[in-house]
Amino acid sequence: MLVMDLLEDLGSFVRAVRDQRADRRAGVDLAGEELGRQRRLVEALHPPRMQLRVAEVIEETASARTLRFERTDGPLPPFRPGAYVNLFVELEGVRTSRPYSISSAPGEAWLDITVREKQAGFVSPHLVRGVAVGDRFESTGPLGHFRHEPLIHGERLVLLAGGCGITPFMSLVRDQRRRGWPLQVTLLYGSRTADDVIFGEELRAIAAEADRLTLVEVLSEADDAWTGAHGLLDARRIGAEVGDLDGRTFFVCGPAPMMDLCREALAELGVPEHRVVEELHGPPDDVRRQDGWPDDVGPGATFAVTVGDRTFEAPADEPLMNSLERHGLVLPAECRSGECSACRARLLSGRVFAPPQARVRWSDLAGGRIHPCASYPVSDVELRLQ
Amino acid sequence: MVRPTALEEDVSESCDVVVVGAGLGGLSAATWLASKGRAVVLLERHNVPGGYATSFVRGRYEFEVSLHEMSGMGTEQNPGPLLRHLEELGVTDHVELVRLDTVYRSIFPGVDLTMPVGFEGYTDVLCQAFPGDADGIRRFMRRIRALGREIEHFNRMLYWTRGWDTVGHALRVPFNTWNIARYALTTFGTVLRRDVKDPGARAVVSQFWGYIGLPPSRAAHLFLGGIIATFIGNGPYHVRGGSQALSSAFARRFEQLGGELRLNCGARSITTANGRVTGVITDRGEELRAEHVVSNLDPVSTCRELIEADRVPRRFWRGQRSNRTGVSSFGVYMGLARPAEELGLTDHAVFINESLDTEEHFAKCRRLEPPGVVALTSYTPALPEMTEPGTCMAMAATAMYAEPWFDVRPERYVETKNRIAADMLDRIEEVFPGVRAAAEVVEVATPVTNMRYGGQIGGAIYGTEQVPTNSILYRTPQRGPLKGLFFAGSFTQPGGGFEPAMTSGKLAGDCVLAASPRAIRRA
Repeated sequence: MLVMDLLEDLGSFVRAVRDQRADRRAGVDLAGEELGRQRRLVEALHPPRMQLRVAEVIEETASARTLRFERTDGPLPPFRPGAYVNLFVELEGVRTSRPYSISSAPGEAWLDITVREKQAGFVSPHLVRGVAVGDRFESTGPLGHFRHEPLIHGERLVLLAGGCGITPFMSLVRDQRRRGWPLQVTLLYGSRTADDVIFGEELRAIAAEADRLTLVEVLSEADDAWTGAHGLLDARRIGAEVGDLDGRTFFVCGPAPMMDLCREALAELGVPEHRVVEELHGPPDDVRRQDGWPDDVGPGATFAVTVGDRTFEAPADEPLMNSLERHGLVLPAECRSGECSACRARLLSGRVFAPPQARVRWSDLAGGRIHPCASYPVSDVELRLQ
Repeated sequence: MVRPTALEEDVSESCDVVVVGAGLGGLSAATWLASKGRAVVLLERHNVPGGYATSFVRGRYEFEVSLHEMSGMGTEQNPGPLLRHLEELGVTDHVELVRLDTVYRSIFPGVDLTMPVGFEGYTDVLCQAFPGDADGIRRFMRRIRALGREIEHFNRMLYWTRGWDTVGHALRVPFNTWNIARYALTTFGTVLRRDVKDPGARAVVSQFWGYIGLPPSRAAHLFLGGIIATFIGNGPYHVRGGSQALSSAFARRFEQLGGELRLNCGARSITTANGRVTGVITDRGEELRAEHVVSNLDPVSTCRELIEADRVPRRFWRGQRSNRTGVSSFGVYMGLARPAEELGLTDHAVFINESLDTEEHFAKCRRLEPPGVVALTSYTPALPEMTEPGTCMAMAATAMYAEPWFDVRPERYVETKNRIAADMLDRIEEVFPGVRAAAEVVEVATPVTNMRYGGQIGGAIYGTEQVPTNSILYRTPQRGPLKGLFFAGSFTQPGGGFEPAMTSGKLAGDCVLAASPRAIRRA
């Protein structure tokens, strides 16, 4: 028996060597062109950077413009509606960036972002008023996870948009129209006044022709000429317009107060938390209003930030990343909302405040890592930027 | 182009060793060399060290990327050689290991077995399920166990060759080589078929084939048999906080030992002169002069993309030609808004097989098709810290080759991956009803994803195919084709997986130490 076994083992020696010879003759796997082909597909799907040229500037409202870009260093990658690009800019000698949802549909020859001018904003006033056709920008490829996921989200969607938060939904609506409405969509779109409504005409035209899109415009400060809904996106409004809530997935995007209101409203209506998908767009508007903000750090407080041999004063209520950029220290940036970890850095000493939207790995928290794009100094701090 | 500015200007322009890539192989090599007083610079293109040994966060869920279960840690009474090495390096000071008490649960049509840790228990469960084949099963398990002992002995020699240990190990060599020598070029299937006749028992024992990426008919017995033996004998482990915690512990210890880790900075090229490496040019264009470079990128990409083609001797390519790029993976990461117990996800590793035909399951890995076997890992019972209370996190994975993915048109990519993922979710739903309804987050990773983040050819998760002639000592060695160039990682000896990757780094470090017995410069 043992002899037979050993003979068999010997046989497998012979087979193994013969297989290896055959492999060597076939040996195509490692050819250089294969590796190049693989890298090209990765790049086509996920370009780390895109060179963009402004092809058109579209005035949407008095304070909002759509920048229509064409990509100059390759075809636009596919993306799912809801994706954003982080747009790099240099203003007043400061290199910084801002994430913007893509408002155009995938598959177009162009890529739109729609920007509303923010009060006391740094980048948005420039993008709304200072950009001309032909201007060049660099951005990341499309990124983000705010999207309809057919694997789990079902076919009945409720989109809750507030103001400029319409942009990712516009991409979805446009994409649905191209694809013949595989989804049933209810869009509740809250704005302040009739003049603030972005994409109003296009949305009404699409809703008029598509059975599968229900559009409800809600104005919080409507004038007498307005015949539509009046108020806020609260539980009563959502309950009345959506009807049967069962089996629906809710997507929420808008300014922080609106998102807070919607979160409460959906909880009140009994929508399970995991059927509500919220978009993050940048750090909190006013971090001092976040739960857990230390009482002893008042408005106007500043702290010393030390990086290597440099020290500067930074306001407590501004994300560390922005302060660093103003001092010429540019971190890798993608989401600028605390979730993607691109800017991951080390807190060597001191304390920072991180709002709940900052999503830091368990092991990173244990190891003193922070995401500076959503971290605020609440004492003097020392950082290492990686 | 806006690039991060050089954040630290006090960079030394030369060092003893540059390690390219902070996967586990690179981390292991770098930390070992730093512990030996070498001035090491470790470059990593990503923003976090670890390679596949990492995690990512979506909403209130943190997902383990790659670790299903880890070997090499031994038992509490008898720590494994790798664990003792990590302890001596100081890596384990910052890591908590979590021991698991079952090896896996195996589901086939008509079969549902939960396999306990320990040879006796494992064999008993198998014999009870397949009583007609009990003798063969026991014979096979004895064989595997003996092989496992020999492999463990060799591992100890690898890590503990000092003083009297060396003599002790050497004296035991004659008694610890019989199986290794005998099965040196044998496939797992050859040995299995000889002893075990029942196709069900064979399928259950072969369940780990996905952890090596080849079916029994092709997998090296020393490797697959060895893995099975260590998991059954010593039990599998998780890492508290996920495998990123292990990677971060390496990085932390590496820096404590004086090493310099640079994140967001890969290597653009490896410079050479007169047939030996002279250093590395980083992505930021800085030149780092070093006599030794350890590449954690796969050897083919290293020699194809980092070194000028005419500098690599042709014998290297001849040697690589018979190595086939191994499997990549397809993974569905699931954040579930219900406790694991409520969903029945209490076993950490569940294999859901559509049939007993393991060979057919492997054949499907080459096609864009739903897989024959879904490996469902439920992390939360062992690692509750990675998600919020009341929720859980699981991952469904299967082995899959990269080739067909590179024929998919970019605009069809999501649809293609979701079709396969949907089928996998259906299969999970059959066994664990309620998973789909509880799903809050789903992320689908393909071989393209692996390639995007890992950068290695074919997104191969275990390196080249681990057939007998490309396994352990027959695999691409750490010593590269140029003087001063070394490799670490799954493409090199001993092979793919967490323990082997860390071992490869230790071996690469040993090679560097042998090539330069004294540190040239202190950090």
